[in-house]
Order: sequence, then C-alpha cells, then structure tokens
Amino acid sequence: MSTSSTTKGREEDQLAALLEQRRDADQGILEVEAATVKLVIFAIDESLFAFSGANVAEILPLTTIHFVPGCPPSLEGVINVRGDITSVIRLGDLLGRPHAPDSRRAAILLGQSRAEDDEAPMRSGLRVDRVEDVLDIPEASIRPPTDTLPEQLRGLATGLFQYRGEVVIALDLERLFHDYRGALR
Amino acid sequence: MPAATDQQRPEASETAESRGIDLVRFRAGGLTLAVEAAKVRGMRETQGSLAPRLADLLHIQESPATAAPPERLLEFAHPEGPHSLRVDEPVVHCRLPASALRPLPPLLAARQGLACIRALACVGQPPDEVLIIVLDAWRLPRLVTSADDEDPPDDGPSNPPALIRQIGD
Repeated sequence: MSTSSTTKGREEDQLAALLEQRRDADQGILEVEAATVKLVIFAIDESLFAFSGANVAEILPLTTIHFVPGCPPSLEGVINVRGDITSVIRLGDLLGRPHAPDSRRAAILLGQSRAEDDEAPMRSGLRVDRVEDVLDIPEASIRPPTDTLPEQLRGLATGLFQYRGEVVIALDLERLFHDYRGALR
Repeated sequence: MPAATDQQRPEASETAESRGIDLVRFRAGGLTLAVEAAKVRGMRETQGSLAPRLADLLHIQESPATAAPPERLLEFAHPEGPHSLRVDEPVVHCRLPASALRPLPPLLAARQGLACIRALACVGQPPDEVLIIVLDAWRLPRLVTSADDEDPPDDGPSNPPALIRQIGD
C-alpha cells in the first residue's frame, strides 16, 4: 500500500512537471509569434501575384461582362454584383502579362481601395486567370522588390515572397487604382 | 429651406423610390442603349436618310457574322437644332425606376472617352440579364459636316464626313 501511494505521488509529480513544461513551451510560442499579413495569391498566365486581403472584398467567379463603348481595351466592361454595377479591369493588360484563355478557374477579384480625403472608397473588379490561395504570410518572409522587375511592375510591387517554390509579386492595389484613374497605366 | 423632419423623411423616401425616368430604348451595334424620352422628337423610317448610324459614332464594332437588324431614324430635340441618328430595332418606350439607375463606376467614369454615356442599368436576371447604357442625347457625338437628314444626292455615294465632335463638350 505504501509502495502504491509512493508511485502515485511520483506520477502526480511527473504530470505536474509535464504541465509546467507545456506551459513554458506555450509561453515560448507566444513570445516568438511573428506578425503576419493576409494575402490573396492569384495567377495571370503562369505568373503569380498577390494583393493584400484587406483590399479584396470578394472573389467572384467569371460572369457575364457587359461591354461599354468608349473604354480603353484594359477596361473590359461592367458586371452586376447583386445590383451594384462594377467595372472590370483586365489586370494582365496593366501588368504587361497576357491573360490565359478563359477557363473555369478564371475569377474576378473585387478590389476595394481605402477612402481618400472626401472621396468614397474605389471599387473595381480585376480579372485574373485563377486564384491560387488566400493565406497568412509572415511579414518577415516578404523581401523588398528588386530593381530587375519589368517596368510595368515597378512602383506597383511592394515585395516578393516564395509560395510552393515559386516567386510571388505582392502588388499595391491602392496605387494601381490611383494610377489607372489618372490614366498613368 | 427648412430641413426635412424625421416625420417627413419616410414620405420623401417613398417618393424617391417611386420616381422613375421615361426612356426610349433601342439597339445599336449589338448593345442596348436608351435616351430620355423627353429629348426624342419622333421616330421615322430610314428610307432615303443620310443620317449617321449611332453605332458608328460610338465606334461600336459589330460582329460581321450577325445579319444587320432593321433600322429606324430617331429624331432628337437639341438646343442647337434637331438632329437624327439611325439606330437598330426594336425601339421601345419604357419607364425605368430610379432605383435601377446606377452612376458610372468611378474608374470607368475616369477612363471612359464618351461624354454622352451618363448612367447604366441592369435589368432581368442572369443569364438573360441586359445592360442598358443610358445616353445623354444632348451630348451625343455628332458629325460636324453631317447633313443629318437631308435628301440623298441624285448621283453617287456621298463622301464620308471625317470630323466628329461631341455636342456639349
């Protein structure tokens, strides 16, 4: 009987020790938790890009795009999003990348910029060939853009990171909308 | 003017909701377009008319595969004098509720090169949804040298007018 209670006491001690270790480990994890940023990764042809998740209100399947005369070729037309009429930009045209032929994976990102001064936030659909992923990336894993980027991407690229062994170029949607509105792109 | 009271607002809202606009709707270059009915003087047969085609003025490229639909001549009232344009049938009078009218999306408004395009409206449900492009008849592109609706010359085709401007610019 005394042997048994001694063994039980040791087990309790072991459990207490394990729990203590676990607590310490959890605290350690909290201490090293890295800041992350949510990104929507998408493809235009074979090139991967990303927008901040904060700038993508919705991911829509490719739907009927109504042509409006008088628009530049990069402005494909408008779509009806639950009664709201929104423009659709051929994003590849602005980035100097040809779009792949239409497929079931093609999508429209509903991009939204922050409100500027007295202006309401700007919204527009952005046609992409496919959406790869929506995920949180550690900020530390995003490197600054290099000088070797093509001209169309300079000024738009905010960083580069690896995704499944491929380089993804993170883009500034606020700048993209601003430049497009001012006919700079 | 005194501000509307809380008791007045629901009535004002109902009035705005029930408001609408009378339009003349037609087709041009495969698109559905409309103008305010108040700015349309009438409609006639196109026979013998030299009036320009609206689809040409808006630079709408039509599919060569589709057969040309029957045309009608729309006569527009304008402060500079009446003028006419050829549009495609069907030409119908309709009333669009104010709630269906949408302003141009901001990026489209910024990059759109035709001042006559004022508003958009989607009617119907997918896949039969139709976009109505609402034009301002007073700002339609107009051929400066156009004879609009003069009698056709006796011999040979007329030289195509080269200069186009937008009324109201």
